[in-house]
Amino acid sequence: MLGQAAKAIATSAALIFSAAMVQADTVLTLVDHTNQVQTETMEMTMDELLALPQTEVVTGNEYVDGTPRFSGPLLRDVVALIQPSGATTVKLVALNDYSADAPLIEADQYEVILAIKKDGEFLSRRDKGPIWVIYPMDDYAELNDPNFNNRLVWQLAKLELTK
Amino acid sequence: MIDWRLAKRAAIITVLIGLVAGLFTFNSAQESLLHAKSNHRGGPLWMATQIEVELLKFNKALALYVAEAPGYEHTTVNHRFDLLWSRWNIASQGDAGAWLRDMDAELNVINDLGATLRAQDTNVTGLGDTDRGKALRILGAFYPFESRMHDLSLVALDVAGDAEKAVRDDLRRISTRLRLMSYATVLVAILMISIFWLDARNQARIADEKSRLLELAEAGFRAKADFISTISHELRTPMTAIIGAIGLLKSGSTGALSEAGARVVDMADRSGQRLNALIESLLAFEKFQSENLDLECREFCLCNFLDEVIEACSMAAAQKQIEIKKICASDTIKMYADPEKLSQVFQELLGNAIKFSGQGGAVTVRVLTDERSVTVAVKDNGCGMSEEFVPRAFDKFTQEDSSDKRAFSGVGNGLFFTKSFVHAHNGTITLDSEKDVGTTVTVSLPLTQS
Repeated sequence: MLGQAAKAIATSAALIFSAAMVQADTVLTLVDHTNQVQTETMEMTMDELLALPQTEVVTGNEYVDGTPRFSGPLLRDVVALIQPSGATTVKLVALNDYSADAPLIEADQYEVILAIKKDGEFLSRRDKGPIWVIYPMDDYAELNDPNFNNRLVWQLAKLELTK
Repeated sequence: MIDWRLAKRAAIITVLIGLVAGLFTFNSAQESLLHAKSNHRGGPLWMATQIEVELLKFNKALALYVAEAPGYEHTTVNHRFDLLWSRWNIASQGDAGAWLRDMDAELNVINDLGATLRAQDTNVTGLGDTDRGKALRILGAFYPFESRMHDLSLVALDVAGDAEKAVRDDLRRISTRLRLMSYATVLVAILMISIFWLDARNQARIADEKSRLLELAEAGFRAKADFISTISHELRTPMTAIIGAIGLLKSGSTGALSEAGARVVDMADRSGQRLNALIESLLAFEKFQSENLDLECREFCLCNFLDEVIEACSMAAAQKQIEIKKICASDTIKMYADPEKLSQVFQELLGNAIKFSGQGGAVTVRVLTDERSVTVAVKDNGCGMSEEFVPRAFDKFTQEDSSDKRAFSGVGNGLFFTKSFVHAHNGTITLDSEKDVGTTVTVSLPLTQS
């Protein structure tokens, strides 16, 4: 009995510790290729992403049922952290190296977010997390196009900025 | 006979219809291409392949973990397990996943894989550093899915192939349609070129014909003018002799005439004078036609000038006991103009006023001036003109009464000359007349010619 309790406590402690570790781990890498002399790299943890102003986007897309409530920092706010000079394109790279290029101007035109929560819950790696690029598809008719569908990169791991 | 205008319209409408149809066809082609693109990411083949690849990677990670291969820890297995789960999740949600789920209705791989993922979740997450036996059991649960997922991938490949074939068929159909439309457009273009060429040739022929007819008309007109000129000249010489002879007869130089003879001579004199006037008018018109209207301007006093014109007309006025009254605001009005031409203008106007006034009538010449122009109005209380004739009064060879029995002589060119001379001075001339009340002709002229 005591052994089971100790095991439960130990498991809980391990989970808490593990969660703390997850929060501190790098979840997103920003790479700025706009500087011809030196490539700038910046790594971000989940805490840092959460520290940025959070924007909520309620939208559906081809990969979800209904219209969930996504939240996370705006793509433009995250890109601004590395202060790219004259960047025009952002390459959205996933954990499995899938990538899609998006014109950076879209980050200003639309409320594109790096969603880290869906309906208030953190996105897990098993469900397109920890970061999913979300365009407000339901708010703009022109976004209902396969080109924009391809930019809904889930399990986002890296942003590469180029001119 | 081809209706060129109709043919051109038909050709243009055909080309427009062709362009609109082409636009729709291109639009349709674009839709087809977009549809083809939708098979790239999120399509059934892509989705099945993703799950299959992640399944193979997970199984490989498990096998290498069991084999204690370096770098393959339980964390690696968990990472691959999460990714496999994420791919399964994509297939289990949304419209995109619905495509694959529909295909999986018979094989039921997706459902079974989901059940296995959930069943093995605790086992996988609970793997420690050395749970090789447990890992083998997990591998045993997932390994059968490799061939089943591959079968599903093949089904998806067939479906995607069918979709691609449909798109290719669409594109082939569209390209055939475009080719036919191109042929039609080329045909219509050739037709249009032919129509325009034939039309241009036709127009050129019509223009040549018009030009030829114009030359013929001009030659005819010149011949007529030459004929009138020659005949008038030829008539004037014997006419002068005839009038001179009649004058001698009337004066009694050739002996006294009987009363009947005197009447006949008077009649011959009147007719001779009338014929002479007609010849003079024809010659004047011919001279006007052949000369240009170049003005020979000089400065003169309009008041004195009008006095001279009135004086020249006084004999004719006296014969009908008509008083010509001149009303002039100023004694001196300096103007710069062609006095010869203006003399013809005012003699014509005064002559008409006298001619169309009755015995004892009144003719008034009223002169008004300002800093830049002068207005001369010649008014009579004669027979006037009908309302219908007034608009034609300035036309050439025009008289209100052109019958043989008319009361007044002349060929009706006087006002035409008058208007031409006034316009040559940048002036205006207007006519106001009422039948049996009188006529007023008003001439406005600039004081100088710029």
